[in-house]
Amino acid sequence: MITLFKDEKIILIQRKYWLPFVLEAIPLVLIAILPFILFIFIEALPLPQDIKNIFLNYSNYYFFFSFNFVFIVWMFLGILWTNYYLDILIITNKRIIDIEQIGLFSRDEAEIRFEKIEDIRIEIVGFLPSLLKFGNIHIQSAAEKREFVLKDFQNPYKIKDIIATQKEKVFEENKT
Amino acid sequence: MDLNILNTIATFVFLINLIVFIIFSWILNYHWGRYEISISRTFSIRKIYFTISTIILFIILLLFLNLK
Repeated sequence: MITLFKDEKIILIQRKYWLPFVLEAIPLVLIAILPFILFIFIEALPLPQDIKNIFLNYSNYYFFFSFNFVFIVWMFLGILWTNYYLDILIITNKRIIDIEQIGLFSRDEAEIRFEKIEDIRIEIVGFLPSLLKFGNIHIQSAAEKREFVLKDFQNPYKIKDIIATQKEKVFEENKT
Repeated sequence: MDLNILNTIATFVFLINLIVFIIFSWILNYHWGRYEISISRTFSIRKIYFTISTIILFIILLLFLNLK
């Protein structure tokens, strides 16, 4: 997948934090089970009795279409999960590689060498990210692409420390 | 209610769903194989995705046969 340079070693491989994915997936799951909940409570719904009778008399069709709907939602969940799962951060002893899967047909692979890093900033915004310790890491670079953003990673301070330590090592190596 | 129309719609929906599933599964399978780092995890992902898909498809098929 990633071709490493000569003498290049992987220090860290990290996926994004799972919570943003779960928060996106919950509405989909709720939508998928909605037809079944509606059917359970059909008698209690304020609908004319004729319409209720149609639902009850053609329940086999209702369940057939409901399960087809569940199947479509399941496929969307698969796509959503793939988008989450294939987003990877790789830190080697020479560079940082950020891979982002954007939908099924778009993929962004960005990398920055430690020599180009000027500044690292952590951004943790909101109640849940503060509580569960996940957030974004902004890396200012001297390269053409000025800012490099690593989104939704757990323990961003730990990642920042790894980057800072490695940057220092590369700096020392280049000096000698 | 005309059951013939409903049956035609049901058949159409089932076939479209099946075709979409085959296409999407092929694309997802390609992505997992091409871009995933861990081979053992890819195997687990495929196992979970295709097992649940097969179960749902089987239920749909049973319901479809029950319509006729």
